[in-house]
Amino acid sequence: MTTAAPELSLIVISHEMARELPRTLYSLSPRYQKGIAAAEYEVIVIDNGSRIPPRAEDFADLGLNLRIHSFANPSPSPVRAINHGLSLAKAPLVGVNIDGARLASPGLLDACRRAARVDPDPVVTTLSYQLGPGPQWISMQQGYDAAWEDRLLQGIDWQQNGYRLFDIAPFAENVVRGWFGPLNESNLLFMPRHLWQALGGFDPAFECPGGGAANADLLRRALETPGTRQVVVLGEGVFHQIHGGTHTNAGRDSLEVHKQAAKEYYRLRGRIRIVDAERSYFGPASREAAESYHRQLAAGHAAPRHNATALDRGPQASERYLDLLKSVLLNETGLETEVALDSVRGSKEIPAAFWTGTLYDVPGHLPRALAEKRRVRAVGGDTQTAQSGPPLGLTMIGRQRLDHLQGCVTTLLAEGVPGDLMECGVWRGGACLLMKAVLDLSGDQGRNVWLADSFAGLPPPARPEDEGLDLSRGNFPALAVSQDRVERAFAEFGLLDARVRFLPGFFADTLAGCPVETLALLRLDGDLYSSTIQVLEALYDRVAPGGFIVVDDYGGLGQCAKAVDAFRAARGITDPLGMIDWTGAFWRKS
Amino acid sequence: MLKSDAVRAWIADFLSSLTATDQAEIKGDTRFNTLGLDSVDAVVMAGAMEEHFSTQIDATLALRNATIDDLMADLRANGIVE
Repeated sequence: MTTAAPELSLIVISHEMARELPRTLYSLSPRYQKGIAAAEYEVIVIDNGSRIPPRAEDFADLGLNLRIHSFANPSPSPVRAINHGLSLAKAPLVGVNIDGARLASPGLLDACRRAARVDPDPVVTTLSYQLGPGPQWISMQQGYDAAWEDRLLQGIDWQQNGYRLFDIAPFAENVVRGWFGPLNESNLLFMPRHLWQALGGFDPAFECPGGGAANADLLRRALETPGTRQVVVLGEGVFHQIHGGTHTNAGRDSLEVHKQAAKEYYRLRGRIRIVDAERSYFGPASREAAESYHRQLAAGHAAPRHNATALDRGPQASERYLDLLKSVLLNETGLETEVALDSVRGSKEIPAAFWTGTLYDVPGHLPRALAEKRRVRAVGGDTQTAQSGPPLGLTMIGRQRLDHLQGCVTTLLAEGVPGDLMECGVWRGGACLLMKAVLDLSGDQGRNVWLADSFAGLPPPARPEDEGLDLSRGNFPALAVSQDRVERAFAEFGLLDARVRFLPGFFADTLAGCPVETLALLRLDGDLYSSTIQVLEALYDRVAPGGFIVVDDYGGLGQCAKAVDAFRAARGITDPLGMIDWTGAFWRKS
Repeated sequence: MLKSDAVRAWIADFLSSLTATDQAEIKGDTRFNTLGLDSVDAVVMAGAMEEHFSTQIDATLALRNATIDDLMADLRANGIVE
């Protein structure tokens, strides 16, 4: 504890967060936060009625200027607890993290402090992300839970580089109106103490569980106060861990919870509007932040990876070829058509203006949808968006996993890891096309690329672990792609030769006795528990030391992750498993 | 049952206020998504409408319609609006 007054006070509200709060406090501690010294800020946890309240002594090793108070009169709404916290804050700049399950990125506190200097009456707002494959109110209905989230967090070593949190949290919850649109609320925001006093803190009239629309109301009142200015911090964020949260994790009841919150707001305020005044933006701060954030924002249109110099103006033809190939495999060049088609999906009649106007000027007519499609495609998130089907390209794995796969192949070639390359579950063949292109460019003549697939869609669920996950042809005809079609794609790209080998049939029938001898890379994309475990049992022992095992659905499908974890545990495999993005994972066999 | 004209006028007014759009631009066949409305906003509108008209409106009702005309027809079919 320091005696000098801190520059920043941050109030964190907790309620039954024994799993989440330790991570949150670590993410706020000087061991993790960059650019800010321990003495420069204090964290005040107000526990709002947990059965076993957190204790400050349990967090002593964090080196954090921390106070933990148990709120004497807890209620389902955290609003009074927050106001109590505000009364304890000592610093001139005061922040509220309304939900103690939200982790911070490593530069967040310093960025907020610096953002506050942009204006005399700043309302510093941050962006929110949800850990896991998609919006948690949807993903939890598909089995996303604490254990699943723990696996994702373990796979990115976030304690060392917290910016990798962006990689496993593709869903940005409060940027539905675009990255530069108005925010409905901010889950961690800072304001000068005098502004909090002028507003009277949060309004205790909001009694809905979780505070209802109190947080949105606070932001609106702050921005409607004359003289204030919103400063949005970019390059940093807060990341929601799944817990029994009233709003974020209400699952199927989510709609009702939001409706009740809106109802209460309308009753209290008589109108609802989004404050869309001019804003300032601040960030990003560090190179790590820029790299991670770039992947989210650049959305596949990444800046040239080649550093041009006066003498060497551009990448080699081979790099350009692979970049263009990936672009085509992802159908980045056809995104406008996909967006145009999405806009009439399900319509009873298509307006004439679609054929003459929209289709030819998608950036002009559907700019938001196009930007969102770009972002989603870059991270291979198309399958998470309910309205549209799989992409129209040759792969759905996104730019980041393609880049990683390319890196694996060049690494195993450079290191001379022996063996063939294989994918089990190929869909339209995009990942295999890329692997073959990299092999051909290297001049390699000895390795095969194996494609194992039923070429007739996924099998229906047969094991209890896969119950409810029926991705078979009847339900998802777009997932069934014939061998003929995949072969044709190889031929069209000039990549078909005798070293492209097909293993048609369900894995249970084809893999155990297949003529594959040694593998340098094994890529699993079979979605189901059964398919994943069958591949590992049949082929893992054929992977050479130093070889790569890449699992496409580890983050996105709990069934797949369970199979991988079960296999690794049964075999005592301790080679570290790393996350590539929000769903892809890999390890190298030692 | 609620009066059709009153509900229609309220929706136009609500959307105009929510999205800071000129009421003249909000017509019966204007698509909600072109106003920048998302699914959360649609649910928010259902909540506000419940409060304003002291009625019950299923949240999915607001989600499954793309224009004011569609929404009005759905409200009528569900016996909420006359």
